[in-house]
Amino acid sequence: MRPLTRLYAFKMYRQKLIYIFFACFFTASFFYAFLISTPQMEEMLNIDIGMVGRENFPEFMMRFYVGTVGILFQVFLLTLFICEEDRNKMLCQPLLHGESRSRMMQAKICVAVSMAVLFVLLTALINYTTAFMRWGDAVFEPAALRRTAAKYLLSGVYMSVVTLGITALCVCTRSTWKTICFAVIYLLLDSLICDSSIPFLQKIWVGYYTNLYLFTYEYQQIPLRAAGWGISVMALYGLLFYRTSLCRTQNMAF
Amino acid sequence: MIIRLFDLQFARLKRQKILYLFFAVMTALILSNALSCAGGSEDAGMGYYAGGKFPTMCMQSYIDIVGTLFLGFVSAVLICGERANGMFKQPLLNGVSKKQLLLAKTGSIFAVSLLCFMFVVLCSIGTGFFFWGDQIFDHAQTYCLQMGLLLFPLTTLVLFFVFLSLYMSSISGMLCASLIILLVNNLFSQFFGAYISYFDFMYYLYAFSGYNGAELAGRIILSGILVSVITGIILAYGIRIRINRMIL
Repeated sequence: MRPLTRLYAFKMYRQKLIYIFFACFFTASFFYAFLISTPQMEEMLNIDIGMVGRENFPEFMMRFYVGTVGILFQVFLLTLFICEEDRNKMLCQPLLHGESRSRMMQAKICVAVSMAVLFVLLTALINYTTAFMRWGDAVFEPAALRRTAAKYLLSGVYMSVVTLGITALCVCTRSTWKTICFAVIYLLLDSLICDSSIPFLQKIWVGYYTNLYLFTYEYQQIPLRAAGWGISVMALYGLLFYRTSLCRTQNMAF
Repeated sequence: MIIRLFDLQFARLKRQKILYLFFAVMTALILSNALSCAGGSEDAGMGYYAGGKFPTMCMQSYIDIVGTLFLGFVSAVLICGERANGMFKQPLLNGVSKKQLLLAKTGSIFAVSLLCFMFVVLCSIGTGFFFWGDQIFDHAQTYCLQMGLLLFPLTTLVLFFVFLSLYMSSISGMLCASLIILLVNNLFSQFFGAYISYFDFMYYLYAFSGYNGAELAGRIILSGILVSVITGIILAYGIRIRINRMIL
């Protein structure tokens, strides 16, 4: 690992908010695992524990992170990591020590993307831990385990692309509140497009595939065709965002 | 002096494009909700809110996360953002005290919260009238009561965000903390509503807006008002202490 990447990684993982967030996520997962199985809760929350419990529980809990909550959390962290550093004149510091702009941005992107994937894997670990505490070995039913692992990996790909998009936004706007605004607009557009009945628009929309994996193929195997098409679209968006971030960094006036 | 400070804060807020964007987004959201309600059957969930219950549904979607997070955002921009940019010092150089400055800021955040809330209520009634005609007034008594009661926890929420902003150093940090607090509160309100209703004012944001079909009982109304007022007083005291100790 390059020294600059290591430095950025240390800086990112020193954020106490990350640990607080995942401690809260663990608490939420724990409560859901133990309390939704009571008849009153089942009725109040309008869920069928026979469906969302046991081997399906980690998949059920995935939607609490992948989507609005996870994206908002990433936006707040990345604005802290890029926009706030830019405002405090910290972004140009590596340039004074002989680093190039693209190497600096590549290091930031590397840390941000690995963080996005790591967070999805961490939610998987948390959900499996609480599910194991509640239902024991039953959560590791092989077919469900393979299916859920594939969904978590696809969600990891989606969150990485979203992270690349937020990074591009941070570099383009160079303002915390503008980035947050655009992210909220993206979330609203995402829900509108996913609920709409315009198949062409849905096919080329980056957020549609996660919606498809999480809701349309809920507790079912994802067809290879849908997974492949989704990964291709997401990879295209990712590449576009990556190139945009690098290009804009070259034109930044510090 | 304080009137001039208020004027200054409002003039600054009026220039914030984000406020107008928020109104546009809320209008789109309310329209989308109305279309879903008009198209949904009563058994399918959304259809239940068609007609007289539509304003209640819009209040719920505003209170749930959009409105509360937006209030956090306004507080963060007005307090954390300006403090980080060194703009807090300017009024102090012109003879304004820290207390007056923060009072003007709190007042303007409260005005924004009131404006947004009223916008949601009026827009939902207008949209409802367009879709369902006179039916929108069938449950007017219920949603007017909910609206009036929600002002108590909303006021306390404004004080809470001001208090939090005084401790956070950046907009992102403040919003991240707000998101975590709102999510934890949502979780606890779902599972431990009966216990946290004794001390958590945010629980009443859900209880007063009729979440999960909760009925407005006399005991809930009384305890909600009491908890909100007491927490508000504690927060106001906390803000005062923080202002006195704060180095700008």
